[in-house]
Amino acid sequence: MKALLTVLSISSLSQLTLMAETQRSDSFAEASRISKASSQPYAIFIHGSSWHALSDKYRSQLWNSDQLESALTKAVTLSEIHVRQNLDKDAQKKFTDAHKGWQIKSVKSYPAIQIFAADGSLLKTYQGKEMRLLTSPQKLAKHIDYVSEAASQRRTLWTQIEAADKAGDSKLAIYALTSLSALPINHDKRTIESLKKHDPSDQSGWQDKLNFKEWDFVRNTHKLLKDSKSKEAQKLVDSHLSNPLFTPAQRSLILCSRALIELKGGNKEDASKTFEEAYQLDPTGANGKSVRAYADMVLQS
Amino acid sequence: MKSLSLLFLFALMGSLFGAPPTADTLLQQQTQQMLQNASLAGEKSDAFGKTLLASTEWQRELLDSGQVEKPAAVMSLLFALWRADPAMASNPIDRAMATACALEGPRRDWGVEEMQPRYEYFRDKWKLGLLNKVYAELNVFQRRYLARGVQHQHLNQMSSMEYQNMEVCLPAEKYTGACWYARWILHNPFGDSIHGPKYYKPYRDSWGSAAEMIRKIGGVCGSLSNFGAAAAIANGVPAATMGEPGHCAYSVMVKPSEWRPAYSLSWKRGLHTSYYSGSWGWHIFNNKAHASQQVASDSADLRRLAAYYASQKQLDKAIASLYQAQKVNRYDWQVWLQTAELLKSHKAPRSQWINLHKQTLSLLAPECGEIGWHYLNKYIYPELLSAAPDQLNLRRSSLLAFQKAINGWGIARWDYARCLGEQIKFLKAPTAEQDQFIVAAFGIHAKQNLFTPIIFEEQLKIVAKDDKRRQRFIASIGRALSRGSKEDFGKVIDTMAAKVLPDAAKRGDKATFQFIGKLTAKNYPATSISPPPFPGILLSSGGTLQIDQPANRWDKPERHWGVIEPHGGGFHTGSKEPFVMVQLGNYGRLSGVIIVTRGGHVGRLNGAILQTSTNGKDWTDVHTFSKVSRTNRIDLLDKKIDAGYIRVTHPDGQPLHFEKFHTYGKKQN
Repeated sequence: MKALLTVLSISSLSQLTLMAETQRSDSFAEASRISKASSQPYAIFIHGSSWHALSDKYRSQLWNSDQLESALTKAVTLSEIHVRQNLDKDAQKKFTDAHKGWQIKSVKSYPAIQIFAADGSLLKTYQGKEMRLLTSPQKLAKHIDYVSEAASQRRTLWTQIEAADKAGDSKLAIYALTSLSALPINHDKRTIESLKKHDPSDQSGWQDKLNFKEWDFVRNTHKLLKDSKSKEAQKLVDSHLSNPLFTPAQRSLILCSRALIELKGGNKEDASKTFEEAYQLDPTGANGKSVRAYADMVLQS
Repeated sequence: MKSLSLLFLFALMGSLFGAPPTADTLLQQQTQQMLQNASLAGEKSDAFGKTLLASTEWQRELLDSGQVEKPAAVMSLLFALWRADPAMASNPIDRAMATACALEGPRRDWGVEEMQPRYEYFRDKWKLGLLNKVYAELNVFQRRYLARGVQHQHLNQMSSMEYQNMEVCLPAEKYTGACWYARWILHNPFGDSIHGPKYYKPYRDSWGSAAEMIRKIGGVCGSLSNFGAAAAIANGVPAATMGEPGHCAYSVMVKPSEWRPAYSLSWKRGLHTSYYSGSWGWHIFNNKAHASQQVASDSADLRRLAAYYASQKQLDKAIASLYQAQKVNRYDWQVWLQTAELLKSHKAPRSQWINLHKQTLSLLAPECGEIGWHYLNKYIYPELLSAAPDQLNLRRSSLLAFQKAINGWGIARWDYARCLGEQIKFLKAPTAEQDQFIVAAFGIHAKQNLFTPIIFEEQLKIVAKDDKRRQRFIASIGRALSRGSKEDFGKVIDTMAAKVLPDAAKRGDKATFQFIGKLTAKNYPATSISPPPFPGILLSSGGTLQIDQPANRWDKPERHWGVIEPHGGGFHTGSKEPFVMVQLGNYGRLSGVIIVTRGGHVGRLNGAILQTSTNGKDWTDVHTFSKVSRTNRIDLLDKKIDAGYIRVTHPDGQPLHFEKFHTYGKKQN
C-alpha cells in the first residue's frame, strides 16, 4: 500500500513536470543542476561548429530554432557543448572543467544529441546515421519527447522498484523491472543488478536479453565447443531459444550457435537445416547474411 | 593556341637577347609539353588545354605539388575529371582536389572509373558541409593523401567512406584514436584467425561497407590502423597508413603540416603513401617541402629556369639557379636530384661536386640527416670519392664532415646505425683505421650524447669476438673522454659506463672496468660515510663488481665502480636471485668487510649471507647479517680466510643496495 502511494505521488509529480516549460541552459553542469532540481530530463547538443559546417547548420537551423521549442511537448532542459579542434593544454583543461561529469568518449561521431535522466544517467545518444535522419525541428522534437516520456516512465518505475525493495515485494519489483527493461533507452548496471536480486534464475528472461552481446554469443559457443563443453553450450543455446524477448536477428545468432554444436557433433545435415533456419530469420540483415555465408563456407569444405 | 605561339616567340627572343624567359613562360612550356605528350583526344581536349594554360595557378598546382609520376596518364586523368565537371576549373577547392586525384590515380593504376567517384565524393561532401573545415585549406600536395586513400583497398570504396563520414566524424586530432572504434581481436566469432583468409569471409557482404564490418567484427593492428586512417580521410583530414616492425600504424595530419603518429609502437615507420622513399623522415621532409604552395612554386620556378639554362648550355647559370632553389626550399628533393643529374650529365668539374658536397652539409645534413646522408651516399660520394687506398684520408675526412654537420635527430628520428654501417663500408679501411674512425665519430658526438650510445653499440657488435680490439677501442674512447671536463663529457661517460661496466665485470675484465669506472668518478659525489678501515689494504680496489639484473629500473650501472673503491658509488640488485659479487683487485688474507648500505630500506640486508671464494665458483658462507644498520662491519681477522672473490646473496629475495662494499686484508701473490 505504502509503495502504491509513493507511486501515485510520483505520478502526480510527473504530471507537474509535464506542465513545465522547455528551458535552455548555458552549460552541461547547469543543465544537469536544473534537471536534478526539476526532475526533468536534459538534452545536450554536442557539436563541432567551428570545424564542421553540418554541425553549425544543425545548430542554427534545428537546435536553436524556436520551432524546436514549440514542437516539444515534454518538459526538458536543452543545452549544448561545443567540442573544438586542436585545443591547447590550458584550453583543454578549461573545457574539461567546464563540462565536468560529461564523458566526451561517449560521442563517437559529431554532431550528436545526448539525453540524460534527472539522475544523470545517459538514456540515449543520437549520432551518425540516426542523427542525420533528424532533419527538421519537428522530427527532432518527436524523438526528444519520446525519450523524455521514457525517462518519466523510468523514474516512476524506479520509484516502484525501490518501494517494492523496501516492502520486500519481489513480485512487484520484477513486474516493474520488466517494464523498465522494455523501455527503449540505455540500461545501466543498476538494472541488471536489480534483476539479479529479484529474479536470480532469470525467469523473466531480461537478464539474458540485456546481457546479450550479439556475435560474442557465437564466439562464446565456439569457445565452449573448443573446450569440449558441448553440453554447457547446448544448455545455453536452449535457454536462449526459449526466451521470447530476442529479436529475429538475435535469434538468428542463437540458431547459428546451435548449428555449430550440431556440426561439432558431426551432424552436418541438421547443422545445414539450422543454418538455413537462422538465415531465414534475418534474410536481409547482417546476422542472417553472415550466417549463410559461413554455412556455405563450412558445409562445402 | 595563338597566345602560346606568342609565348614561345617571346621566349625565343628572350634567349636570343640574353634575357631568360619569365617563370610563367617556362611554366607554360612545361605544361604544354606535358599536354603534347599526353596526346589527348576528343572534342573537348583543346578547350581543356586552353583552360589549363590560361591558369598559371592551376599549372603550378599540377606541376609543383610533388612527384609527377606517369605524366601522360596524369594529364589524361585530369582531362577526364575536367570533362565530367568543367566548372571545377574555376573553383579553387574542387580544382585542387581534382588535380590531386589526377596526380595520385596513376600511382595506384587507378583510372577515371576509380578516381572520378573519389573526386566527386570530396566535392559533394564539401558542398554539403560534411567534411572537416581543414579540407578547405589543404594544398594539392596534402590532398594527395586524401586522393590516394589507405593501404587496405576495401576501405577506399565509396560505401566505406560514406559510412566513416557519417559514423566517425571527429575533430582532426581525435582521428589518432579512431582505430579503437574496432576492437582488437585475433580470432573471429567462428575461431578463424585474422592471419588466414576466413576471418572476414563470412562477413564480406553482410553490412553496407567494409568499414562497418571491421567496426562490428574487429581485427588487429592492420585493420584497426587502416580503419583509423580511412576515417580521417573520409572526413577530409589527410592521413596515411604505415608499417612498423611487426606492426601496422597510421598517421594523421592533425593541423596544417603537423603529422601525428597513431597506434605507433616504433620510430621505424614506413609510410604507405610516400614520395621518393617511405621512412617517417622522408614523410616529414616532403611535407615540409609543400607546407607552403608559394615556396614550393618558387623553388620549382628556379628548377625550370635551371633546366632552361642547361638547355642553353649555360651550366654556371643553371647551377646557380639550382643553388638558389636549394636555399629557397631546402626540402625540395627535386632540386637536389636535378642538381646531381645536371652535374653528372654535363660532366661537371670536381670543384662543382665539392661545392655541392658543401651545400649538402650546410643545408640538408643539419636538419635532415637521413636525407642528407642518402644524397651524399648515392649521388655525391660516387663522383667525389675514390675507393683507392691512397684516398683513405679524403674519404675519412669527408665522412667525418657529415658527422660534424648533423645536429641531433633534426626533423625526425632516422636510422643513424645504418648510416654508420654504410660509412664504414664506404671508408674501405683496415680494422685499425675503422676503429679510429669510430672513435673520431664518437668524439664528435660525445658532448651531445645523442648518437654515442648507437656508435658504441654498433662498434661493440663489430668487435664482439675480438677481446683485444674491444679493449683497445674502449681505451681509445676513454682516453679521449678523460681529457674533457665533467660538463663536456659527463653524460657520455655515464652512458658508456652503463654499458661497459656490467659487461666488463661479467667477463672479469678488471682493466676495462677500472679504466672506464675511474672516468665516472667525476660525475657524482663521493659517499660521505667513511668508517675506519680494517687492517691491511683495500683489497677490493682495482677489482670488478657484478650484480644480478644490472641496469634494472632502480640500478645505475655507471655508479658500480665506486662501490669497491674509497670514492663510494651505488648499485641496486633485482629481487629474483639477488647477489653482488666482487672480484677483488688483489687476492689476499681477509681482515674484514665494510658495507655501507643506501639510506632507505636498510633492513633488507637482514638475512643476507656473506660468502668468500678463491676461484669465483666455490663459495663458503662466512657471515649472516642480522640487526643491520646503515654501516656494517664484519670482522674476519680471526677466520684466516684467503679469497679472490667475495659476495653477498639474499636467500629471501630481498634486493641489495650498497654504496660501499669494501674488503680489507693483506695482499698475497
